[in-house]
Amino acid sequence: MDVRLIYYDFKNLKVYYFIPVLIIFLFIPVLSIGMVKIYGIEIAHIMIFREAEKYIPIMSAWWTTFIFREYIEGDGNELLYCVNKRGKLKAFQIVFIFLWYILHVSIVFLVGSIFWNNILAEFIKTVIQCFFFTSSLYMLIYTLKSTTISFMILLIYELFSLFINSEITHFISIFGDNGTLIMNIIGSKSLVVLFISIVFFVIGVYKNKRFY
Amino acid sequence: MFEISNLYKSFKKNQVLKDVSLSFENGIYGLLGPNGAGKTTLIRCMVNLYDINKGVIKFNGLSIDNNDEFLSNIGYLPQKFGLFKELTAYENLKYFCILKKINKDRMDDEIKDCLKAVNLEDRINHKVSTLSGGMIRRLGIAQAILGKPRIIIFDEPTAGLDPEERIRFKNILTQIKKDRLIIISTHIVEDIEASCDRIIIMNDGRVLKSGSAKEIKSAAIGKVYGEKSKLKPTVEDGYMCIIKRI
Repeated sequence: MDVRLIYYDFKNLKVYYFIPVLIIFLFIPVLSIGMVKIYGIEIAHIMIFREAEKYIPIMSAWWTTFIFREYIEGDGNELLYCVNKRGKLKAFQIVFIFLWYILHVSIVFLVGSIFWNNILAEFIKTVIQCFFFTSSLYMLIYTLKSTTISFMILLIYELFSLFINSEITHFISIFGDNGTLIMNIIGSKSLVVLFISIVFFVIGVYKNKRFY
Repeated sequence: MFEISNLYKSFKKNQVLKDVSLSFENGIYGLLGPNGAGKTTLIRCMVNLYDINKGVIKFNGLSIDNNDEFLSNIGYLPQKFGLFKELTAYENLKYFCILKKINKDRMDDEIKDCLKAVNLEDRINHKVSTLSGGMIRRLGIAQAILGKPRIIIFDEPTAGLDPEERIRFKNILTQIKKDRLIIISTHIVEDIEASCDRIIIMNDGRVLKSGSAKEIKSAAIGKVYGEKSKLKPTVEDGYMCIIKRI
């Protein structure tokens, strides 16, 4: 797998590339500054991460969705699977796009670490949530053969988890419970989410191999 | 050079290819058959996209499965081509150069040569989304001939093209055919009757006949216009007689 291919994949996105960048580097900081001004730096801490959780994990699936539109639904996409037999597996692209996104996210957390403690724990939780969305998307796009429907399913899942208050949504939600300490969330929920994400990724690899 | 022996391919319970055996040498071959005959499935097996159920496909005596020499010697234009529309023609071809593992130093020359061959050199820096349907198809041909492959496979190359583009395609064929095996899959007889050295007729997943245009025509003698008629059967007449088993 050649990294130059991913460069062209990103280039082909044009303006779509900048949506996650704008959210990470413009929307989240502006939101954070606003909250700090209203509630003060200490109280705003938890609220900022609670808000960021709504946008950062789901956005990890954005680039993959639009890049893989060519791989799944593009006219002549079979060329991307038969030119090189080993190139049939797209797991490397998925991981690279995920890491590229995490690199962007880590800059925001790095800046946040200047103002708050316990940032590392929040960062680990966010990385696991991002990986959950990425691996779920990988599995869904090669199962449903539609990037749009796959992204919509993830979006509906997020809306259900965040805004419907019920036993089931609490159980299936990957997001932190209000009032639970971050270290407790990582020690229990995040580990389960990580395990499920790995299972989804493996299913994605299996479905990817059988795509053609 | 390129050989298919006793090939079977099914999708679940649907047997698409049944005991297909073919042998190819350099030249232009036309793969002719009605829609649903199994042409695209056969082509996808040939380019190592599908795993086959039974049989073997060999290139220079070696199975094509995980055969790097074969993969670097094959060019393929699928039925539809329109990937990476936001890239320029140059970037699009560069993408395929990287996929085909063409040497970095040779890439620029390869791209320029291929664009010249398909008469698109003046569009090198144009976005694919700004090109017409015919131009995108020609870009697809350029992609297929990148790296000077010895085998080039075109799947329905003229579908949706206007007469001018069809003539242009035939001109490109005559330019690139030297020392190569070119396989053209189509259901349009006129696309291949003049340009192909051999015609393979397929229907219902089987090869019904393989021969020159003259041999295909001969299948219709006495069956279309009658024994005493002065009208001579065409390739299309022969093709219809073969697939209808008249």
